[in-house]
Amino acid sequence: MALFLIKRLVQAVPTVLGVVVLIFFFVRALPGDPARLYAGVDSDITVVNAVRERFGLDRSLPEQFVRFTVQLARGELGQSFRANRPVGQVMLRHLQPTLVLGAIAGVLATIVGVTLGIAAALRRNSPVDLGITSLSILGISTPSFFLGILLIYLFAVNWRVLPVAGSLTPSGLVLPAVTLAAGAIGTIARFARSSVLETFGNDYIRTAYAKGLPQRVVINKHALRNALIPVLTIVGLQFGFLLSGAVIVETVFNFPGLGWLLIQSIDARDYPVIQGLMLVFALQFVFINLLVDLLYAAADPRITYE
Amino acid sequence: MTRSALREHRPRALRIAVMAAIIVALTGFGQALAQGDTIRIATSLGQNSLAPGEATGLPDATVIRTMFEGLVGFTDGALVNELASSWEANEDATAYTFELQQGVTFHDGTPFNAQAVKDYYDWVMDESSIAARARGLLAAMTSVDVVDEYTVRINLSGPNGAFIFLLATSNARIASPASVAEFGADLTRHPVGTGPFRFVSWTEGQNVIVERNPDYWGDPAEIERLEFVVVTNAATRVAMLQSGEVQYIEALPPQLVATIEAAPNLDVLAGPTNFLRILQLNTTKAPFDDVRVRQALNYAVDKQVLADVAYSGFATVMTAPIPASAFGHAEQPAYDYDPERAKALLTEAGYGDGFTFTVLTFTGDEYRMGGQVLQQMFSQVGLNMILDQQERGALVDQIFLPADENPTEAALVGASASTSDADLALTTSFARQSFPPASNNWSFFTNDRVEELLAAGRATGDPASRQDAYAEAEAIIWEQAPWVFLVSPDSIAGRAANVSGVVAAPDNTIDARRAKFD
Repeated sequence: MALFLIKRLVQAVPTVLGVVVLIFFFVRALPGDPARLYAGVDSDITVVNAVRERFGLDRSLPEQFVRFTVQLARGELGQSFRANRPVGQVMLRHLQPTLVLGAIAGVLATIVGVTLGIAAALRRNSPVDLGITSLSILGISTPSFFLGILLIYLFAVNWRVLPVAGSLTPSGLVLPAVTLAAGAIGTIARFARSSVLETFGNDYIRTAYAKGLPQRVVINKHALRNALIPVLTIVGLQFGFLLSGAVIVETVFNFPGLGWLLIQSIDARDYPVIQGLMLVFALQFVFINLLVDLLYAAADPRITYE
Repeated sequence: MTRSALREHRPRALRIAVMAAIIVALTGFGQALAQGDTIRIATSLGQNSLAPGEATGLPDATVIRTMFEGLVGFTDGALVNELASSWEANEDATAYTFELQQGVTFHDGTPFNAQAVKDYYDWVMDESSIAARARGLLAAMTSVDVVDEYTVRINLSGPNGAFIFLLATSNARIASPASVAEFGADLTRHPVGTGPFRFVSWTEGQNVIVERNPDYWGDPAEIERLEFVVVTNAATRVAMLQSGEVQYIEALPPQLVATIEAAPNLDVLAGPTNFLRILQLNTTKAPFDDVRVRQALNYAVDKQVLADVAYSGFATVMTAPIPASAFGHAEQPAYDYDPERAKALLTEAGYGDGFTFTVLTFTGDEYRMGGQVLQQMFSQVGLNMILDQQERGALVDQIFLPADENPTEAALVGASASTSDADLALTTSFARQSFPPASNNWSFFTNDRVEELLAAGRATGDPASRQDAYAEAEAIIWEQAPWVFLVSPDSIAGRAANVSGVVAAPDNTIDARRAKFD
């Protein structure tokens, strides 16, 4: 097992590095001069050049890349253009909000999604099933921007029970978490529903009923546990997507997490921070995929890893 | 297998009743208008620096204004004395002498006097300091002399009658020399000034908090604390004003004005700005190299309609190449809406069949609507205008290319007079030295007489002579029409009805020094 872990981690390194290198060249190919954006459109060219020098952008592209890789090898991500602080420090400031929001939204999505999916499967083709399926599709297809504004208007402006701006307080987390979880709930619910229905069709279920087991036991002990294993994969993927979904939600709710930071950095062409964030996102995806595979192995005794 | 497995025992009716009760209770849960000791102001962008010599953005200037002062400043758009009780320029405007206010101390206790002014500006002029922005702005400053304890003289490299206006801008405000010595490059995060508020905290990208300075030398502030919150999304900003989470928001979208006006506890504030919206024409590219074509475009646009449609009436038609609030503004004969005259001029110039051209502009509603109005009006005189909206970074890249590489035919953009004075405004837009990539003369306008007049206006401190020089320069520029002169947009802000003293300054920053609850 340990060998398996190490192998996977080693495999992840070229992927992550590939992402970072790609981003490095990609942001520099974008139109928009970070130095001029920082110095202001009405600034004198001398001020702009001084800023460009400070950012290290007056050097040739190959030279910039070499300095970047040397820095990365030392474990440093460079200095943010906008904040004039180490990138790591800037990202750390905005890490906690995203983690908290992501965790709450993820847990919410999982519990609600799985519950709804099972309920729909157990009452297949009933009004309940139709209702849940419709809600799921609505959740998946409603843009989070729209949903967020709608919730703000209803709960913060009209009824005044929750604040507009998101924050790390219980009331400040409700709306952002719900908005972020909406799409995930829909996906998980639909997948859980189909997985449970598929499990019902298996022979061992018929055997269980034939043995005379009551319905409650058949469902809880035999069906659900098996049905939920593939759902685990979906849940894991959704946790991965939560981080990118957070970009929009954080902007709408003015919630200062990593997603919000990404938008600000792209707008300002803050190359080092964009690169740092992409590294974090790539690592996060790799890590979650690995975690899901491990959980899969733990949950399903048929699966082992070398 | 469609048996309903888990039967619900709770009656449906009861559940509905409970839900209804909750909703009714919550609806009644109104939020009284905020009172207390803090006024919260929402800005659309975050601050990058709280060091006046370094900061480049409007949100920075908004916060800096509460904590820092300069020798002179702007209040309601007019030049006023701040830390200087009086000043005068020498005859050829090569030196300015200031009598300083007495009994003033910086927030860290350092006394304010001529030596402090000298120490601070010496640091600004030092190439290695972080005050690059101030250094560029005040480049004409060569040295500062301490005449006596409360008299200081600033010497310039050449005559510059406009220099006093440069000293009134945000970048020229004075920080404590002791703080400069202590913090050096980290001055960004350690603001120490002489203003009515002093620094409490700054959570970057989120908020800045300042508190009343009890030792302020002038009228004390009327509120205990100010909090400047960063809310980038306009809809969120408006929602926060409506819910009472903030008491003032800037950049209220014109479409939402009616909503705020309708709310009994909220006010809409509109005011003039130093900003302009113009259609810049690249005079190096045909057909815009022909003055008749440029004038024709001016006659083809009904500017008042543009103001009403694209700005919901919150804009004023331009009457000169610089904003009406700037010193040196001289009203010019209007290019009245006259499509017949426009067509005649085009025919005379050889373009009777019209032509196609592309207008580069920013993304967003304002520029889209403005562009569409222009498109409509130009088509009435036989011109086919293509609107090319580009993201800010891309647009800036393209528009700053030098003449031989610059593909821009026309650009619907903004211009401003950040010093409220004709010199900077006219120089950055119409002087040869301002050809891209150096500065903003994106129409590549060049005129020998204008160059002479700009130098003459700078060479004297006498307001009457300066006014004459600028009036003549503006008349030439207006007649030559390198721009289609459109409008000056108003600033539109939303404010809680029980708050006063927070207003939009003409430079589109917020002046919150006199903020208070009524």
